[in-house]
Amino acid sequence: MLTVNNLEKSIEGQKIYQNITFTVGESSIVGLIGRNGVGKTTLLRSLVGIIDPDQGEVLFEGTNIHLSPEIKKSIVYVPDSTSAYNSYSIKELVRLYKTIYIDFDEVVFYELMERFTLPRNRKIRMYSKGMKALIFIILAISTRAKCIILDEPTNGLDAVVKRQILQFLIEEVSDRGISLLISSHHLDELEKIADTIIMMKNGEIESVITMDDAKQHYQKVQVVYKGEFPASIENLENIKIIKKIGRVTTLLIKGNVSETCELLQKEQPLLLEELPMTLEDIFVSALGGEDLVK
Amino acid sequence: MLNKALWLKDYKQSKFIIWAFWLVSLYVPYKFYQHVNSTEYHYDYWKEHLSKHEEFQYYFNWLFTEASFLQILVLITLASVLIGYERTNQSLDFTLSLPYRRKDIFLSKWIFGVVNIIVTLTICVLISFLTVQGTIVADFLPNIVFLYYYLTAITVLIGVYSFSLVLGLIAASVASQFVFSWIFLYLPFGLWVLIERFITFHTLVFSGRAQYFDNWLTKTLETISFPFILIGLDTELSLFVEAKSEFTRLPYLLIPLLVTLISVFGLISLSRNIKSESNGKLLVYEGLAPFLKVGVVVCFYLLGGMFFGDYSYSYEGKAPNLSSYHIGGIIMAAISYVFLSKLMGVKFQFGKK
Repeated sequence: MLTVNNLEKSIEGQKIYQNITFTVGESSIVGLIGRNGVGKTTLLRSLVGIIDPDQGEVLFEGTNIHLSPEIKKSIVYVPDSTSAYNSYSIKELVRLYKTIYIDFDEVVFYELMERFTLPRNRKIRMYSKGMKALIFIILAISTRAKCIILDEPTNGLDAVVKRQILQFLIEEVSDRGISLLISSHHLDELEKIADTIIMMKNGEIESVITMDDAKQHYQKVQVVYKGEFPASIENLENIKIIKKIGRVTTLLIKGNVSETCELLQKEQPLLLEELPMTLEDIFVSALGGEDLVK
Repeated sequence: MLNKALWLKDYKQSKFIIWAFWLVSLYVPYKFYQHVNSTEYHYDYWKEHLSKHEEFQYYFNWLFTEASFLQILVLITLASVLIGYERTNQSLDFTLSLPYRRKDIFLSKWIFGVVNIIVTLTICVLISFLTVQGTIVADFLPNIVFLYYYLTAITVLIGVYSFSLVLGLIAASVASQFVFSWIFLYLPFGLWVLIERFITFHTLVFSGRAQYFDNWLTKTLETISFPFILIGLDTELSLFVEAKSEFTRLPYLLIPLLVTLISVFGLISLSRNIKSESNGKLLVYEGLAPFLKVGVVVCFYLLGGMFFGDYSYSYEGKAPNLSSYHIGGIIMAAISYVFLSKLMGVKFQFGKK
C-alpha cells in the first residue's frame, strides 16, 4: 500500500534521515519508534508531501505522492500539534474536510463524536488536549482514507483517553482494513496494537520487526543457579542479560530459543522460568543499549 | 486554482484582513461623500453671496493618500497571513499534506486575494460614482476620473499583493515576509535616496560643491517603487481635474503589471519546491543570507551616514566633517549586523509542542 524507497533528507547540511526503505501493508498497524530528534517527524512529514526528500520516493498504491499529490485523498496525516486549528469550530472543520475529502462521512463523524461523548458546539481551542487528539483522529477516520499517518497521537494523554484511542484505532483497522503508521516513543502502547515495528536510530532504520517474529525469536527468562552464573552461557552471543539481583538473573534470548534453553537447563538451575516479554526488552537487547528507546 | 476547500481555508485564516480591506476601501466613497457635501456647501455659499461677482470655482481636493496607504498595508498583511502566518503557526503542514498540487495551492491564494481586490474596488468605485451623480460635483468632475482611479488602484494593489505573496516563498515567517515586502516595494526609491545623499555629501566635502541629480531620475525610481503611483494619485488627479495638466500616469501602470506577471511566474516556480524545513526562520533559502546581510549592512551604513552626516559649511567656510558621516554609518551598520545575526538564529514559530 505505502512503499517508501531509499528516502534521504538533509537540512542545513545535516543528514536527518537516510536509507529509509519500508512498506506499510494493507490492514496493518506499523509503529515507528526512536529517540527524540531521530527524524521520525521529519520522515512522516516527507511521507505526506510536506517536506521533499532529497532522494528516494514515496509510493501509495504505486503512485508517487510527490509527483501526483491527488493520491493523497487516500492518506491522512494527523500531526502532533493541532493548535493551528484552534479558531475552527467543529462545524467549520467538518465543512472543510467534506470539501477536501469527497468520501468524508459526516454521519460517521458525528456518531463517533457521540460515542466518545465529545461536545459539538465549541471552538477547537475549548477542548482539552485529549479531546483534540481524539477529534482529529475521528476526522481522519471519517475521511474514509485507506492510510492514516499519526504523529505521537497519545502524547500527554491520560490513561483512559489513551486506551479509548488505541481501542478505536484497532477497531477501525479490523473493520475497514485501513492501515496505520504511528510514530510514538511509547513502546508499551505500540506493543498492544502494532503488528510491525520500525526502529530508527541515528536517522536510519535500525530494524523492522514484526510482532510474530519477536514472539518466535525472542524469549525472556529468569534463572537462578546455585553458584555464579555460568560463564559459558554468559558468553553466548544470543544472550543479553537484562538484570542481575543476587543470584537471580533475568536474560533475553535472541534466536535459537529452544537450544539455548537446553543449555541453561544443562547447568542445573534452581529455577528457570519464562517471563512475559515486552517490546522494550527486545529493543534494548536487539539494539544493544538501554539508551536507545525512551 | 478555484478550489473551494482552499478558499474556505484561506478565508477562515484571513477573514479579518479581508474585512479590514473592505473597511479601508470604503473610505474612498466616504471621502467622495464628504467632497460632495463640502462642494455643495461652497456652491450654496457662492450662489448666495458671490454669484454676482465671480464664477464658481470648483476645487477637486480629493485626498485619499491615507486610504491608499492603508490599502497597501492591509494587502501586505493579507499576503503575509496567507503564507507567512501559515509557516509560523504550522498550518502550512496541513495545507501541504492535502491532495492538491503545490502550484494550485499558491495560485489559489493569489486568485483569492486578486478576486477580493477586484470585487472590493469595483463596488467602492461604483458607490463613489453613484454618490456623485445628481450632485453639483457631477457637473465639474469628469467621469473618467473614476476610471483612472479604478485602473490605477486595481493595478497597483494587485501588484503589491502579488509581490508580497511571492516573498512568502522566500521569507520563512510572517514577520520577515511583512518586513521584506515593505522594504523591497520601496527599495528602488529608498536606495536611491541613500545613494544620492552619499554622493551629495561627498562631492560637497571634496569639491565644495554638492552634486545634485536631475529630477527625472528621482521620479523614475519613485515610479519603479510603484506603490507611489497610487499614493501620489490624488495630486495627479487634482491637477488633471483642474485642467492644469494632462493625466500622464497610465503608462506607469506597466510597472505594477510587469511586477504582477513576474510575481505569478515566481509563485508558480517557487511553489513547486517550497521548503517547509526553515519555517519560522528569517529566510527559506540559507544561501540568500550572505546577500541579505551585505544589503542590510550597506543600507544601514548609508542610512547612518544620512542621519549623522553634517552637511553644512561652518561659518568660517570650513567643509563639512567627513568623519561624522562615516562614524554614523559604522555605528548603524554594526547595530544592524548584530541585530540581523541574532534574528537569523531565531526560529519564530508557535503552536509547536
